[in-house]
Amino acid sequence: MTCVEFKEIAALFAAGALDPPERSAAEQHLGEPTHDGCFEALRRASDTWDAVGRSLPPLRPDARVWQGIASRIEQKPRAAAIRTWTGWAVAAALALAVVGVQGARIRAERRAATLGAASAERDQCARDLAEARSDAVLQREALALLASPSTQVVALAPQQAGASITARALVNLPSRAAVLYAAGPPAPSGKDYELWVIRGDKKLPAGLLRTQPSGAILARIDPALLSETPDALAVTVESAGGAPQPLGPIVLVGALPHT
Amino acid sequence: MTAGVAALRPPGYRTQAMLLAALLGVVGRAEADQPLLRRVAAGDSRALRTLYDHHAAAALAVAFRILRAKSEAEDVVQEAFVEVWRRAASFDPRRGSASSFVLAVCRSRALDRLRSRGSAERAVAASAREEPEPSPLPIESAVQRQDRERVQRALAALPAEQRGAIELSYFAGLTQREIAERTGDPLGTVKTRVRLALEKLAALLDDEKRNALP
Repeated sequence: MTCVEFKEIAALFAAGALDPPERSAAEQHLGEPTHDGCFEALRRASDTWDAVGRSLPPLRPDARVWQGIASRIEQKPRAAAIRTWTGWAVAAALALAVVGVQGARIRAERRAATLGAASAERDQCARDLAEARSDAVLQREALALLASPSTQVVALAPQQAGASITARALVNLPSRAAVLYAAGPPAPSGKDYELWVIRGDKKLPAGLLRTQPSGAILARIDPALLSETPDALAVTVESAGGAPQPLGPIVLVGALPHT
Repeated sequence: MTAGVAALRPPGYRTQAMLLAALLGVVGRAEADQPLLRRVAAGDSRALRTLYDHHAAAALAVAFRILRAKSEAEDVVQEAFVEVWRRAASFDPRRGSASSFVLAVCRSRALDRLRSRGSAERAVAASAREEPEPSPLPIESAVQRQDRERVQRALAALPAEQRGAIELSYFAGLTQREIAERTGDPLGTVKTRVRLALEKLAALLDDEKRNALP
């Protein structure tokens, strides 16, 4: 099967509507190392079928449905989990045997290594927890802004063809509160996304945008920058660490409506 | 993120952030669910619960539409999410979004159950259509409703024969050959019709999305 032939049947393949021989041929084709848009066509077809399914009014399942799932996944740990547990058990038994043979010196070294690893884990946990708390506060602020009738949703439009970063800002000028949500790939290596508040000919730096592993970006805009109504918000790509004035390419701009 | 901190976070923590982004339209639900599916693959049952909260209502709607019996459809949803739990690691984002993966598993289980029925039972079930009770979901109802209405408008804009091909493929689970037998059309015509129908639907949805942007 060629890529052209696969793309002809991608819709039927995604719906499971191919007859078995053609389905096998399609699966075999997808296993080939190079493609000309096959996966893109398949993904588009899958997501379109998904939209068809989601066009139905949703039905709330009875509570017993989840209860049944919960009890079944507790009873039936996945094969991978069993393998992992078995692997740990074997590893532990082997480790004990080694420790027994090699004596106290090795035990002490292992203890020191374990303590070191635990200490690093604790430090990482502390950093993650601080980040989680900070994000949780921002989320609460965003939810409060969403609930306020005086909040404006500002769409920041891409300024470059094919730009894959998108953003919306929730701006509540009476309370001088604003949160920006963006999604997209991280800034190029050695660069950072920087947010700007534009007022007249002034471009005020409003902080760097940190991309989470999920691709989401969440940032609060300093209330002091909202003391006077801004004209617009913008995002540029700057050298790592940011710049006091925008020097890099503008990727997003959104004008604030003046009421 | 270490496992230690992940365990301290409330269910759906990451998802809540992504959901806010989805509400604002900066990221699709599909993108929001991919990290969840990764966590399910790593054995995080709370991520499965969040995924269930996101998709169970749509999954039940699809299963009900196929089986026309709510308690049987609920059994299918249960089986489907247990399967998602077991198969999450096999999810390949190149083939579709995380949400399409979840719904496809449920649809597939519902079609299996439909096929396991005898033809007489199928006919009875098809004629004895239960009417589902509407049950909009909190917080997402407006967003989901808008999305549904967009798809419904796009489906309604398709020529009747293309819409019929989509119905027979997706909800009746017929293969191209079965569709050809049922409609009396040549196999090649059926293939072309389904492809064109889906392409047109995708293009209409793109248009709807573009028009919906502020």
